[in-house]
Amino acid sequence: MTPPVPTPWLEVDDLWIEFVTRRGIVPAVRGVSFAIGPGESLGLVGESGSGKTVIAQTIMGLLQSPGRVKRGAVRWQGKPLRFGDRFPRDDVRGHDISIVFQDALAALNPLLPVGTQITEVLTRRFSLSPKTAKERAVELLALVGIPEPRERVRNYPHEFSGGMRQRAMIAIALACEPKLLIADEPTTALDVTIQAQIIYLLRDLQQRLGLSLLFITHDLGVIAALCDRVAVCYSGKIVETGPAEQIFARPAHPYTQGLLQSSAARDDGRDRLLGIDGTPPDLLALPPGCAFAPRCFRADAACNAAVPPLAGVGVDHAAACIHPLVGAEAVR
Amino acid sequence: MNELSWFVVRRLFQGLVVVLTVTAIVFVVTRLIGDPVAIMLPLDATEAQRETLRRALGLDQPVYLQFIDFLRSLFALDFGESYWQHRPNIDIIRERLPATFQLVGAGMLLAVVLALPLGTVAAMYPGRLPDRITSALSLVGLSVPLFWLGLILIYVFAAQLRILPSSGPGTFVHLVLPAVTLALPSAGRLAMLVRSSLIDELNAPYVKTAVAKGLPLWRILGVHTYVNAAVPTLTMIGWEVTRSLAGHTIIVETVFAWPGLGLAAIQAIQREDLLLLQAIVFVVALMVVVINLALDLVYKFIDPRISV
Ligand SMILES: Nc1ncnc2c1ncn2[C@@H]1O[C@H](COP(=O)(O)OP(=O)(O)O)[C@@H](O)[C@H]1O
Ligand SMILES: [Mg+2]
Repeated sequence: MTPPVPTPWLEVDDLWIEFVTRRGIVPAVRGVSFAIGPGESLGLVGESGSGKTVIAQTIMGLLQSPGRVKRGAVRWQGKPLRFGDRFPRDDVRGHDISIVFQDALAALNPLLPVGTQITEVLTRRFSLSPKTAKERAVELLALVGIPEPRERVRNYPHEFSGGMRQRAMIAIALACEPKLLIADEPTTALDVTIQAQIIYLLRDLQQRLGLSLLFITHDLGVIAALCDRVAVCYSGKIVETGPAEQIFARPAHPYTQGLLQSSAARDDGRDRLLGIDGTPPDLLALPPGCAFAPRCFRADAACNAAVPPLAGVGVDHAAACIHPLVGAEAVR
Repeated sequence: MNELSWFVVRRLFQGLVVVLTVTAIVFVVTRLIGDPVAIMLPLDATEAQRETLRRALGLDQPVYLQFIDFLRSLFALDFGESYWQHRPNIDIIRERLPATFQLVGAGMLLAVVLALPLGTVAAMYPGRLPDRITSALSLVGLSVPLFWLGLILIYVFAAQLRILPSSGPGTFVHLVLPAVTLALPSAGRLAMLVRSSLIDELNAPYVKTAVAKGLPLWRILGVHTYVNAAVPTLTMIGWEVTRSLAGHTIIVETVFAWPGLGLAAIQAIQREDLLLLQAIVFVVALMVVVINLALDLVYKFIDPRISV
């Protein structure tokens, strides 16, 4: 007997997002779908410019003109979410879903104490009294591992170190007691040891609070420690998706393999992109076939003829590739 | 001594330097303009009379001694006697200051009250109708010459509609037209600044965070962006107050016969009352220095990143 499929909390369904620019309409996200269930963690990985931030911000309702959702839906517990308002407010964003941004220094208001930036969520969300809210803010800072939280609530963002600032950002995101936390490259701006601490903190929080997690990164290696599932994004499309261990053990898409190799190279201290030469295509001049074909060592005429759809390559594992890596080829 | 007191002491010292510089310039200029003795005595005065007065004014002393003497009396708030009114200049200034304070206070308050909502609405809908209307109004407000604006207001509200007095001191209704005249151009400049600062702030990443937190619009605007727009806005308000005190009130008080310091300055010039003019310039310079010191302290209070 197969276990019942849990109803996903977040569903991103055939999402198309474009930016109207002077040079033309940039199709930044092209038919992305994924789902995240209760307590599940999904890693969204891809090179810079592949559309990860645009997806995250659209889920949060933060997509700003000139960006617009061309097609598709984002649903929370089955309910479609709205986009396109300049100051969107509903009972999902900032209630059930919250977000941690890459650059905490920019994302925090420089002129308000960190405590205020937490308590304003608490008073809005739970109608706490100022005093209770302050106590709760101290608890939240303690929860994310900030030492001397009682003193720190009064500090301003610039008085925190980079790592502590990102912890404070996480505390703010947790203040509304979300069910899903989106983390958009939360460690990219930090140095390696601090990165590891933040990853560890997120994993710990996820387990303790039963959070679902959408973790966005350009470094596949980071995902291994954190995510159940992986979705690999290339030029606005998901090119491979599957359980994390399968993706790591048997990547099917040559692009995923390249990402794995470059992540391994980073770990060895060889700081260059192994496996992937060249740059992503100009979104205004996409090739007719697979967008990765011009950089792919396996590409042939068929790859350039038509866009390959996502197709199953294993249990719960799919890749958008005409010539997926199989068997020994997939070993990195 | 803590950081803040050091800051205040340093600022006070800088202010003192500014006041001294202004004073020195005034001292030199008044002595270049003409011989006070020649102005103060009738044309047919004898050489002996001139010599007596020169000695009485200390003009027989070397220039640097004169300057030190001049400084000493200034800081004792002794500005000498008005040649025009034959009484201490300090009394004239005391008498005139309240009217100027009323005018500048009412005018600047009105400017801020107009500019904040207009600038905010414009910033929320950049390029759209509310923004266009605000920007057009601001442009008109800031490009109209003060004296012309004053005359137009007098023509419309005093001469034609006859609902407000055109000139003179006294009651609140007398204050309306001069204060509006002083306020409108300032409001135009301020509204444009509020608009552009808020547009910048609304695009800042921390606003995304605030939106993602589900905060209501009033809190995003009224707390998050306003604190960040406060420093440029207060700088501009300080600048407007300074310009009013040191310039615009002269025009407005003259047009409306408003008996403040600005009108006194014009009258002093007309009557060649150099000591009175000197005293007014000194007092205005002092006020400007105090305003700037106060602003610096407020900035530090708003933005803890400002190092001292
Ligand atoms: N404001 C914008 N105007 C025009 N194009 C944009 C804008 N923001 C994003 N894009 C397009 O969307 C693509 C994906 O951006 P982004 O989601 O930030 O990438 P990632 O987060 O994966 O690095 C970019 O390559 C760019 O072409
Ligand atoms: Mg990004």
